[in-house]
Amino acid sequence: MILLNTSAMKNISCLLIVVAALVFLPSQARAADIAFVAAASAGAASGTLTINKPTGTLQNHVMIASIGVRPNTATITPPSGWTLVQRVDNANATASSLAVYYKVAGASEGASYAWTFSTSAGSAGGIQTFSGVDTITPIDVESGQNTASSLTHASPSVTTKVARAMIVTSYSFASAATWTPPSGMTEGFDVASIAVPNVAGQSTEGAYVLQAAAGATGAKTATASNDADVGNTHILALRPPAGIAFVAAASAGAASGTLTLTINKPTGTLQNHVMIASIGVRPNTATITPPSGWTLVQRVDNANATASSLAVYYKVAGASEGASYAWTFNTSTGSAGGIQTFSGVETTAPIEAEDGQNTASSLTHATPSVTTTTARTMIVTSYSFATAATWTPPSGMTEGFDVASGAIASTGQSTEGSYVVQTTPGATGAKTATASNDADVANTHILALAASRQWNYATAAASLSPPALDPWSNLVLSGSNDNKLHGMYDADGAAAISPFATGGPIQARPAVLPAAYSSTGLNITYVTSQDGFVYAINTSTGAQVWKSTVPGSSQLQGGANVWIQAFTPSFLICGTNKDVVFVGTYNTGSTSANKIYALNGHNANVTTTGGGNCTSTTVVPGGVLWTYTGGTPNPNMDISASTPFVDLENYIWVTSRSAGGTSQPSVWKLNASNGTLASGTSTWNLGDVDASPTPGADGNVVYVGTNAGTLKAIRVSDGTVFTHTPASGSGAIKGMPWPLWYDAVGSGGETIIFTRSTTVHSVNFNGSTFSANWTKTLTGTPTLSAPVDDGANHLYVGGSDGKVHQIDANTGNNEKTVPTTAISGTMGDPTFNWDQSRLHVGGTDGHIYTFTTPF
Amino acid sequence: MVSCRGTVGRVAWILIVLCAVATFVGQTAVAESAPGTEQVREVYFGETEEDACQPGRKQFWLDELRSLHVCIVWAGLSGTYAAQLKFMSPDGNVYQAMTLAFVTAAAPASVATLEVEGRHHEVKRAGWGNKGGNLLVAALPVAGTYISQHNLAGEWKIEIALDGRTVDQESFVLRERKER
Repeated sequence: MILLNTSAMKNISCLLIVVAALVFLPSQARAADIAFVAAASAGAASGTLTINKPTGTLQNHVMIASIGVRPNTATITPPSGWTLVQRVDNANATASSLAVYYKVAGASEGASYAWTFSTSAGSAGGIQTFSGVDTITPIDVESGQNTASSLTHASPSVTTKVARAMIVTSYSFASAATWTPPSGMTEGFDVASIAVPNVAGQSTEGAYVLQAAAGATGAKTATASNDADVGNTHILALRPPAGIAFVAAASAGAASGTLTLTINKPTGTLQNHVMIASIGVRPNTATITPPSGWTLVQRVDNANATASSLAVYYKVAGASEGASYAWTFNTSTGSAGGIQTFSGVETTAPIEAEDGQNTASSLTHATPSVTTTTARTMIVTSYSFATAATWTPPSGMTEGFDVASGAIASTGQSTEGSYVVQTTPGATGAKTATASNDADVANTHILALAASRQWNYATAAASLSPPALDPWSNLVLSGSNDNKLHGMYDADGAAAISPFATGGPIQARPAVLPAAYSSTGLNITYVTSQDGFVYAINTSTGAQVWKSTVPGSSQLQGGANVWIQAFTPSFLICGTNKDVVFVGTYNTGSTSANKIYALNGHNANVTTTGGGNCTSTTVVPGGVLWTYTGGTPNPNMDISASTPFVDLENYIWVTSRSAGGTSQPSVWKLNASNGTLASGTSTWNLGDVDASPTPGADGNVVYVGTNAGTLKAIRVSDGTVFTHTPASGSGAIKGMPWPLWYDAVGSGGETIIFTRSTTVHSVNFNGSTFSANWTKTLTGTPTLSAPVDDGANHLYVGGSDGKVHQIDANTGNNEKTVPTTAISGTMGDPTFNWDQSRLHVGGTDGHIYTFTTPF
Repeated sequence: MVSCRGTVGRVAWILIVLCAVATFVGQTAVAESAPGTEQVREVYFGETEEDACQPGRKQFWLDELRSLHVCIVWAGLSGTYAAQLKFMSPDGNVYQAMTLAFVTAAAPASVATLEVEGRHHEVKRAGWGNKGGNLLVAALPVAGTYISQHNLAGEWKIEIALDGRTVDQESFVLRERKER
């Protein structure tokens, strides 16, 4: 049988993720464009102007408010959190003002926003909400102006700096009228302060349109219905999230016989920018030695007449780069090359796809087509042939550089570099550049730079538990001390669902099930809250499926383990054959009477058949199937702060505290079917345990980390306990012991990683004996989180130094840390995203961070 | 029915569900005292609810603490209120904010729940303190939580607000043992 416990059963989680990767669609195919979400508007004949929050506004959406008021001398006080973009005042007769604001929606927004005025003879305004906007720098460019008395009012033209910007315009004048939006634009709202038509009052219009390419917007003219008057207009461009951008290029040529080609570092190149160098040289037999630190992407040689070569390299700019880079050749009858620098590129694996080819003698030379798999890639092409020529870049692409080895002539070498953003994944198609003169054979190359996948998402309080993954919906799910479950798209951190509010902090990783495996038929997550309830939430909609009927006042600290009935339909729990949720209680007022519950995880009633600790009744969704209660006649049970684990033999393993001693159990083994203690050894007095139990690779042992800092291996077959007492370090074992299910250290057993207060430990267990591999204290001696690994010999732990540490699993050496500038707080327990080679981790600053691995 | 009688230095009976007797929901706070006259007279800390309202302790061993109980002694209140407690971890971040709806000990209960920022909070009756004070106790779970798992030791601060207006700030210290 197979169960899912996202905290304790790493293997099963990984299995499901792999299954997801194999069965379901790629997870990065989300549309990237800015989109209009909704608008709301209001008018007021006098006094405060209150506008509702547009329906569907979620965290990280950007709201644009356009507030028109008369007279122009009124002071305008915006609601908290709104930033003025520009206020435009028209002091002419029937004077009025237009003030435009923006706000990035937070985790918890009110239902409406109120603008107050020192005086008002009429106000009218609206809010337009957009998704997919860069939340750090939402506005690319903006401008406003007065307009003369007329029914038509034009905005200024602005020149956008980025492609696919959302143009948002605002119009307001001192008459109550309706508006017709500018040609080609969509009206977001149209509102007046008093009934229309009226020469008095104020009316305001908001409109929007997506502009595909960077450049001038042109003036945008809206038309009022009646009572020509003076007005104010405004235009702004919302920029998409920061993706890859061209920074600058530099190039150089060297004549025949010159064996070094030196190219300046492009101006503005900064650390972590990615440089692409395209080096053309003749003849094709020349050896090319790149500067230090450059990695060859591909060299393409054309051995035909006037033979030449094109070699393409990349380099991730470091903290300290030289002023130029020199390529050397053992022979050269001409060389020409350039460097193009890009920002926002994934630095660990910058190149997502690449290919090169020879081309026949011609003035036009085409690259191969490559297929990208992620959104917002930067396509970079290179062309070089054995003629000194100038080049015209491919249609739709921008030329980064165009350089020849010398004067334009039939001899020499010339090279072209160009680029374009490809918004959606797919084939690039061949990209054809054209030389100016002297057709010749050539070499071409194309590559796709992957966009940086690092993002962060803000909650309103500390969030240190490991986030959960829902690869079926491309979501990251994380609880927070702000009492809410947050769901964000793994591609860019945009809010995917409205934060789901519970009555208490959520400090355990949610358990996630896809519809295909859930008896509910829903993409569903089970969340435990300190308010004492388990919540089943549809991750596609964010809606509650059920709330548990118990335990209520007994808080829940640990996570839920979910029995996936689809994997073992013949095994019944209390006679039922639907998904079951297991939780242990955290009633700090008792050291003896805590409980373990089996809850109906299904979204419909089930009927239990009794027996053991089972109920015998109809059980509603979230209701109790069975209860195991600590205390007479059972052993006392202290609080459980961990997530249960169900083994391959259908036993539930639970850890708990033990009233500070060893006189009562802290490890429990129960029958999943009816909640009774297992036969044979079913409890172990190991002292307080907060860490979750973890299965070994073959299921023959269960590892338990105690609060005293010892690691226990319980042999499932007979209950024998093997103990490892670390020679150094202090404090409890964090989170859960973490077995490495690849042989990182060597044969003869499995390797288990665990962390204590400031130490990371690696030990080996061969079935009967522990042996220490290494123990490390990390640079700066930060307090550490629980560890995870990436299956490639890297461990990751969060630290009180505000960083995540990457550690060599073989040696324990601290390899790297991120982010470059530490957060102001402590990093929590990380989750490794196998699907995307990324790490998700929360912090005491309330943010959920994502980093690409390895660092 | 559980009595809500008590004094500072004795058991504080607060946050007792059975004391809330009214039936309708969705009301805003019903405060009878003049705005600005409310004050926090004292804030105490304890390891248990029973000892929370005793003066003295402000430092606790992190590894011994199951929950930290915070006792707020209010003066000048009469009616139903929503208190907000914002716990700031030693790094200065907001660790957790909690809302406690309560009706003062001598006031008639008029509502069963208060709606604060879109969520209904059960109104519980404050305990009796001396000199007419009202006792409100909140519990911050510690054992096995982020606090103990991540050793969030150091000086913590609590911002106390009443109906959205910050009225006091206090601190306590969680100490970590260097060796076990």
